[in-house]
Amino acid sequence: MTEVQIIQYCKQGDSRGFKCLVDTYASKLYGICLRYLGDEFEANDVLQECFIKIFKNISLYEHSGSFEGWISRIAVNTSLMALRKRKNRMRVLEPLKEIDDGFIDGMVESDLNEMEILAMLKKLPNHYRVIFNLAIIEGYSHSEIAEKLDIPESTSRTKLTRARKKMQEIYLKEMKTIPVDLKKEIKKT
Amino acid sequence: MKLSKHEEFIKEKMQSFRPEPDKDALWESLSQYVPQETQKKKKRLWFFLVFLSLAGLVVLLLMPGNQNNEKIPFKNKSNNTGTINETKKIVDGKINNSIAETKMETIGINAKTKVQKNPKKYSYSPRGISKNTIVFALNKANQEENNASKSHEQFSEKSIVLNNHSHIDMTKRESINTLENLSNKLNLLYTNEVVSFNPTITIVNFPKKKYLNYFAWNVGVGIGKVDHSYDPGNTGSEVFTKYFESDTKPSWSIDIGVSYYFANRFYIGSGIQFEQLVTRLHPKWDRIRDEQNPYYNGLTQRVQSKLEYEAIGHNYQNVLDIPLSIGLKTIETRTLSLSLEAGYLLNIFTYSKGVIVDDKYKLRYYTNTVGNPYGNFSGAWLFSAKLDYKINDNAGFYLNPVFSKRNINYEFSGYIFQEKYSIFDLKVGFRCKI
Repeated sequence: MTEVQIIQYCKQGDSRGFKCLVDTYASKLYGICLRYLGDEFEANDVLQECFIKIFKNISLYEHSGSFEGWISRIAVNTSLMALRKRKNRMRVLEPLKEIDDGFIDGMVESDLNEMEILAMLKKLPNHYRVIFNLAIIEGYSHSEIAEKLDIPESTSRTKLTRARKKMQEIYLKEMKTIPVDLKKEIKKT
Repeated sequence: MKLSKHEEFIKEKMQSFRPEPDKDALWESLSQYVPQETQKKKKRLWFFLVFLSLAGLVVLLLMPGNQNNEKIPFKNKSNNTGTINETKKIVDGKINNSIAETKMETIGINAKTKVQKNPKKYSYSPRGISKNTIVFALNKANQEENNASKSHEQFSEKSIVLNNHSHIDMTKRESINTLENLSNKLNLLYTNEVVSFNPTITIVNFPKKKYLNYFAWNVGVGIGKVDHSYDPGNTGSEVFTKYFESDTKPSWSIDIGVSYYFANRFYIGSGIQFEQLVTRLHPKWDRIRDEQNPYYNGLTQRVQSKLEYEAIGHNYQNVLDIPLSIGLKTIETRTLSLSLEAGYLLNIFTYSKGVIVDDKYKLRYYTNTVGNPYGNFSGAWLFSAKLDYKINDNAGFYLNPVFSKRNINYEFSGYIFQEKYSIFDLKVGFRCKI
């Protein structure tokens, strides 16, 4: 069933369309929920909530933009709402170690898989993870993030800088590859 | 934003990240939501279709029976005719007047007999005796001419031409067939003899009951009191209703339509209606103060006139509907009539314009053409009463209180809002027979 057919069936209230919608997009949306929430059980609940919202509102989708983008936005918004409910609001800005950016840039591509990256994201505090997801992975601008998170743009910038640095820390700890410079030294010896 | 190498790597990996949830379990829990929604839609659809069908059926059933609304005067068309108020039975060539008098109500048939020298014989055995519908005359054509003439005279004196319609000339066989058909349908007077006749048959429709069926057009304007709320389970509403409060201003409407009045007491109406619903929005000041929002300057809403000016805005929903309604006149006097109406406003277009409070407590302007939540069957239920003041038989003014309930959905900032309106309109208008 194509995307257009799925939408059409869903709009007609045909349960086959809804089933196909779930089969096709569950993985994508589950990935988004996991990234934001970092908890499997909660991600499952939020995923279900996402689909209920999609079922309820699919009649309003007017093919004006990408359908995948539309349902992704719903997943992001639902995940953010779930986070708000948790009341783990961004309050404390943790002190960060100074990390040499050049050191990170010198790394070779790791063979980290998605689950390992997800585990790294999970290690970020909630408020950093949300900003990192929104800015780096989804590509939202600071003004959009500020709107979504109900914070000023300047706060969004500060938090993103800290989130990136924090992620670098975690990345360094977790990465399986070795620095390029170290590789060169090994070759020389 | 420039991403570092490892961030690019993370982005790429995460965007293609497709972990597999337990789809069967997910579908099992979701499936309970699907049929409910579908059933609701089907119910709405069925209810709407049944309503339309019933309205259509009533019109179809009543219209054909009332096509001839004028009283048809009884006319004596010739010497051979006269007013008959008796049914006749011909037995052995004599007219037997023993059958009870009946009143003609719907159809009259005049069968003028002609004496024939060598008539063909036709067998005729209708069933039953008419009490109310058809009078016809027969003459035995195979009797002696004198007798036949006498019978004819006797009969003719009491026969009738009940028409102001054109005669239908038929052959003998056609005449008999017609009479037989009519007798089968309407329990005709019968004769148990073999008769031959050459009737000229005129079918006259008498109104069974006088119904005044007519069309009328109307034009009206109204103002309304609106009660407005957000669907609490709705995605957008959940987020945004935390931030703002709304109240409503009077709505206004204008409509033009046509009604078909039938069976004296009923009418169906349709047309086109424009209505503007105005909502006034402002942020929730308590919430701003409690959350120590940076946009709050510490002053109350009352003393910060500039902010108040900026922070209160209006939201306009302009809706275009086709009303479909059915009405019943409950009370009717010479100058006044009171009718009750129920119906559906089929929404064909909604244009939203105005402001909305965003999640930073700021008013943002937007315009949007919004659809309706139920495909082609969106709209509003309406119930109304109509007090009609007749200027004369053809025209009058009306006062029309209307209560309607409608849902409006629209998208703002990636969220979908569903608003519910309960509207009490008071309309005045003018109607005139077409």
